[in-house]
Amino acid sequence: MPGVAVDSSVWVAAADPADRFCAASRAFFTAVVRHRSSIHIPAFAHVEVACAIARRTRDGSGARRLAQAMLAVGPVEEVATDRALLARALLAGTTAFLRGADALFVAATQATGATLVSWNDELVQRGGAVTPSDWMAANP
Amino acid sequence: MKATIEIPDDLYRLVKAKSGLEGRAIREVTEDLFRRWVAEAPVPAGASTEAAGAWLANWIALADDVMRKAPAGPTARDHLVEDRKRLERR
Repeated sequence: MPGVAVDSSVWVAAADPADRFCAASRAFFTAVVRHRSSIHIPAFAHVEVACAIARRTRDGSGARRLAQAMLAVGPVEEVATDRALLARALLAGTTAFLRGADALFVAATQATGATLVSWNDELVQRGGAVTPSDWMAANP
Repeated sequence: MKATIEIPDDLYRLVKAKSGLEGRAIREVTEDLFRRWVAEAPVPAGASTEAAGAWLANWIALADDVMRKAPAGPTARDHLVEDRKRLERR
């Protein structure tokens, strides 16, 4: 099965039990594991996730541990934010009028041939992403 | 060839002590470890379902632990959205 590129919105929702999408995000990751799909993220994503968690919890140490655990031996593969990825992001972002960070996720998705999964409305509407719920419905 | 590497002091002390106990030179131990590591089969991407399941279970357990003491307020996703919108006109 082709991999999934998972936007930071899904990671932080899965991490935060107070988030209304927490259960759906955790169910999505469980389904991804069951399907043996690889998970792709641009190499800055764990920083973005950690910073959002730290701002939420005011616990920088915990946020760093959580970010490192994202990258522990498992299905997550980082896509290097090199010149090639930045060129893709430049084109994707300026074509679809995306935010910069969103464009990097779209670029990582294109580079890996994965499906982009996000709770971000703009990424769904203009970046070709699907929500975790829609991904699970399409991949029972 | 010669290679110079830096390792933490405490780790080096442990390596020196153990190699001394075993009567082996540190160079010999290092070479042995390098050879065994190079010969290992690479971990396949996406590995096994079991390994991936363990990774996810560990990550969620850690998230629950980290989030347990989070104060009331905006969710982490709210913070993320705000971060990404920060340059937009208000």
